[in-house]
Amino acid sequence: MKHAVKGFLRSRVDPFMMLLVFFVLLLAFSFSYLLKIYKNIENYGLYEQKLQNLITLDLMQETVFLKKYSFINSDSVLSSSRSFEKIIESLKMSRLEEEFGKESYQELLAIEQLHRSKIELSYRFLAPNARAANAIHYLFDLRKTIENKYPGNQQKHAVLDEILFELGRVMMGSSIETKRLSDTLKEIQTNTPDEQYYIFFAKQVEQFIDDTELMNRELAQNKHIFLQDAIKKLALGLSAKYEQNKKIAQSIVKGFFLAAFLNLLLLIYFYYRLKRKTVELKAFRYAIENSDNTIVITDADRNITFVNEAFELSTGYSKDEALGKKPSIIKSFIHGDDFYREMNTTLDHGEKWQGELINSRKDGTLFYEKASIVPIIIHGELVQYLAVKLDITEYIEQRQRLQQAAVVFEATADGVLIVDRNRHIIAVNSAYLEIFGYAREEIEGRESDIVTALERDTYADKKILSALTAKGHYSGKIESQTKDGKLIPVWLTITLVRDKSGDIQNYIIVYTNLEEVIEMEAKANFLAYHDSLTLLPNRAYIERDLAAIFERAKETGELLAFFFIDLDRFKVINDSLGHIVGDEMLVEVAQRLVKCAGERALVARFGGDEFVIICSSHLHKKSIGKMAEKILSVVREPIKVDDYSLNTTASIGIALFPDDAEDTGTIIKYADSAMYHAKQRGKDNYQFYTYQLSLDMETRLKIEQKLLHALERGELSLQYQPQYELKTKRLCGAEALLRWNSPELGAVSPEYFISVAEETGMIVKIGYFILEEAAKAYLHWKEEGVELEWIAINLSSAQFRQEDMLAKFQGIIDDSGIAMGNLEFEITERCMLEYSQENLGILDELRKRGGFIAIDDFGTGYSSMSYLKTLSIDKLKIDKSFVEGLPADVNDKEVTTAIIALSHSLGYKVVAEGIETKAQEDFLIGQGCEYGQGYYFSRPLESDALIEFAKRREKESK
Amino acid sequence: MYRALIFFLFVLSGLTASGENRMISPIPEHVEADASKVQLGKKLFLDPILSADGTISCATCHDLQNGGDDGLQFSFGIKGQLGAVNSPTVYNSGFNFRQFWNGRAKDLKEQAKGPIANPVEMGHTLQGAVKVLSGNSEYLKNFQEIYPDGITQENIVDAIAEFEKALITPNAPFDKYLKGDKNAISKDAEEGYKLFASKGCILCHHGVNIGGNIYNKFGIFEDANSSDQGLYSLTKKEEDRLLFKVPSLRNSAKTSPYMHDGRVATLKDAVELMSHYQLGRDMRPEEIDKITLFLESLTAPIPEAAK
Repeated sequence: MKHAVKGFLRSRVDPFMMLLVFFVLLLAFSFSYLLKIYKNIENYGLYEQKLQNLITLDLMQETVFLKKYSFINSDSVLSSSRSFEKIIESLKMSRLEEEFGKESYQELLAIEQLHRSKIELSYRFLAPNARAANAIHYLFDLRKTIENKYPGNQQKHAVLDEILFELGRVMMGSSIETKRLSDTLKEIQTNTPDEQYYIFFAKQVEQFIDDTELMNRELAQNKHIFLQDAIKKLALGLSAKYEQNKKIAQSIVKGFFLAAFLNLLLLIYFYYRLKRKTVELKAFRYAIENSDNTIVITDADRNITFVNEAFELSTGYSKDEALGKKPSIIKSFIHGDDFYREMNTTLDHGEKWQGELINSRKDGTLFYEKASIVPIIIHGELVQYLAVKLDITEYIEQRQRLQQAAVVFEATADGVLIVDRNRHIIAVNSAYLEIFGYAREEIEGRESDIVTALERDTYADKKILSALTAKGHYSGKIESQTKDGKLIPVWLTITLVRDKSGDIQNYIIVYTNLEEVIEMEAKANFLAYHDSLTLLPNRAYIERDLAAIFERAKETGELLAFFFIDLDRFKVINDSLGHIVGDEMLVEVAQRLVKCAGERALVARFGGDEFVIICSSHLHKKSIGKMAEKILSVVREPIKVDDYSLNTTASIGIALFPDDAEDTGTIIKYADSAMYHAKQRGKDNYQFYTYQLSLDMETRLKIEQKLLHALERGELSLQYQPQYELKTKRLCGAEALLRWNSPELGAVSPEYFISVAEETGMIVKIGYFILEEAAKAYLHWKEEGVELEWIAINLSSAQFRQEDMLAKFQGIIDDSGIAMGNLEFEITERCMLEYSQENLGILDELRKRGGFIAIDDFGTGYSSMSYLKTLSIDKLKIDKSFVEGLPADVNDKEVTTAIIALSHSLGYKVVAEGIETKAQEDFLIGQGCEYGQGYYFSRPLESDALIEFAKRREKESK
Repeated sequence: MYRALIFFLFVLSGLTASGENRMISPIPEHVEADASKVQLGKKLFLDPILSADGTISCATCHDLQNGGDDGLQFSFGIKGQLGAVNSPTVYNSGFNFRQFWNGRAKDLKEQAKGPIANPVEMGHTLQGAVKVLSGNSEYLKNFQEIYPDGITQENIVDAIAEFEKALITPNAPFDKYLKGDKNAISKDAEEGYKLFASKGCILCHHGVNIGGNIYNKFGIFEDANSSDQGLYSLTKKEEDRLLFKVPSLRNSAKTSPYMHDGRVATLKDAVELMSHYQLGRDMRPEEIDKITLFLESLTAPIPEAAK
């Protein structure tokens, strides 16, 4: 407790403050003391005045004793004595005793007593004096009376005169001679009654003598009353005491003054010391403010009380933002709790903490600090924390960069040497050692041959020196010798590192081993221009070399045939049996093609299932056709992959150089067109490019261009092919068919423009248009009283690529108001095989929602019955190519019969397309086919015409 | 022979030259006194509550309507007891240098204590008086209004003394004469005054109160045969034997009988007695008459304070 108080005093009361307080107290004491002295002087003046008055009053009273034998007005004695008493009383009531001591007071009391005695004496004196005065007056009267009464008695008169003279002398101050006077008085004694005046005279004289003697006694008494002296003594005593007091006061005031002066000196001393310290502190503060070190000071509660500019710079927080906050504002939360716990434990022990911190700037970026945090403890009390920190972010980052550089230096496959200005190798990396077969000790510290040679200008290749001199940098290919004497190709890079003054500091020499690079290059080249699967040249190869081949052919006058080969049905195989099977098939085909084409031909895989063969031959067209036939037959051979025996065919387009075209792009295009044509011609055949093909291609391009705007220009419309129940001939549905009437091209057959629409993606928009129109038409018919069971629309495989197709369809259906149960979606066999998964999902969904699904053109495609089982469909539509030959063609009859039987066995209904004759209809009815459509029943009709048709048929049937 | 007489005259004139006229001065119109104390003092003065049996007040012996005394040779106290001295007038007593005939009290306050505690006068004690007054709510209030310490012995006599101080009688005919009104007194009275002065009376009876400021021996030229030995009875000093306070002659026409023992009933007799015993001379009857006339001119109207 005591210690705590002491500590408190030491910490809170500094000498400066104490001196200041002391100084103020001194001033206050001096002032109050001076005030007291002043009051004493004032009091003393009053006392002195009063004592002076007493002396005066006493002198007045003393006059009584001087007026012997005369009239004295006693009132004067009364008034002066009362005044005297009043003054004495006031002095008794005053602070005289306190200020001048008991002695003075006793003296005052003595004065009072003396005065009382003197007044008593005065009154005792006044009585005989009055009597004596009266005697004298009367004696004078008596003398005159006696003169008149007794004229003859001269002798006695003379005695009287003598007595009077004697009395006069006494009155003048001479001593009274009582004996002689008494004797003289005897001379006038008489017993005669007539002479009574002599007796009066004698009596008066006797009384006079008595009174005079009494008065003389009293005057003598008065001489012993030393009132005057007593008052003067008191006054002197007061004066002396006053002077003494004054001296004491003066010395005390001097003392005070001296103390105050010394105090002031001390204060000034302290002030200067403080001032000096202030300057030092200012300097310190300046140093702290401008220190590169971040300095943070907090109070004991760790609230920031000071930060310097370095803090602002490194943290991004301004002073105002930081003051009053906790230092944790820059905490990055990268260090774990343990880190801070350890820090706080150290600080709580009053010890300095040192370490590296990762903190967060205001903008969230991290920075590194090397910090030392010191708890500042004054007199056992923690008052502040001082953190001195150095932003080492740059250092850390540089270190990291260097580490990275070192890693790179070591990890790089290039050999690196660092040579100093004295041509000594100061660093070498592992890659160098590996490339050249040296040990590290053999290299480090040695002179660099190449640098030495360069500096002495003895190096053979002068280009290096000139490049270094000009640009400070050289790179180029050289051959360099390994330890075991082998020459290897290297890419040499020499970089000069110069210091600030421009002198060469280091050479950095990088050797890139080109051995591998060269190998890699060849490999890469091969990979770039060859198909990795078949190892045949690829399309890039063709495009790169074709021009050169043409060039050569031109020079030699050779004829070049460009075969464009596309495998039919490859996609189906790839999709159904997997791409491994597909790949193996491609490899087999490739080998067969190479074999077939012979060494002089160039066989390339152009992409996917497309191959190209370029034959340089002087053969004419016919032999080229033969070659094509040979290729077809080679492909047609069944291919064994795993357990499968795959059958495939090819479609071949052929373009000739220079007959058809002389530039490479055109040749490829023409060959492609011819291949396309072959496909159209039923696949498994070859076609030469003709001018007509070019025209077709042009038409196709036109169609493409015009179709772009057909929809928005309203050139597209629908026709409706009625569908009917074969048995009853009842109209039960209609297939919507798209028609395009182009102002420029006229009516374009769907056969042409649908495929274009599919290729360009136009088909998606057109698909929506069809659905919308068909729905509208159906509802229109319904309004008109023609209620069909369904309206069928065709879907293209391209439409299924739209992810939102289902949603869009549902939207259109909902908007139109048609019931899902009145819609039938037709989809080709081929479409079902492409994109099978999505297609199936969408079809399933449409069916679930109430729509019907029909497979269109059944039999023309792959006729793979396997998928039919897995599909959830409602109808199959027998392609019109099968119906066409009915009932005469045996093939057609069998296929048709089989399809119908198969459908029924799977629970599908069957629709026959393209019924044109009664015989066909009858046959189909006979096979149990449910529905039909075709010219025999009705041509495709406009919407309104269909209503008419329906109404007419209704009438007829009635 | 004449030389001696002339010399004596010379000496005499030198001694008496100091203005005879100023030996008597008029009573001032006012004295300084605290009005509220005067009021309270008057109440106490007139109230017999201060006597032991409640029968005697100050005013019993000092009738303010009749010269300030009781007109008896000796005054009566409680239970009909007879005092030993003639009661002096209370008027102008503040001008006296001492109180009581033998001057045993130095002022009015000291005097006031005397009769209250005197067994043959009011027969009380001062403590008793304090107690009795403290039982009186009116006095309690009165005292507390004036004195911070309320009713005390000192305060009782202070109030009475303050009242007595106010009992002054200005404007007697002679005072008017002194102030310049020569017709204020008769020719005879004026001559009486001159005789009063020339016969030596004035040597003892002078000052503002015409007496009361000096002692003198009763019976100078002849033994006056007084049983009361005056100041001697207090001091036991031979020179104080028969010393009495010279009484004031103001209003003396109304304060008969005269002398400390009330031995003389009329002023004429008193003047004659004085001439005989005190001055040792004979006076003619007409001279005595004139002096008596002068003395009568000293009678002043009853002052406002006493009414």
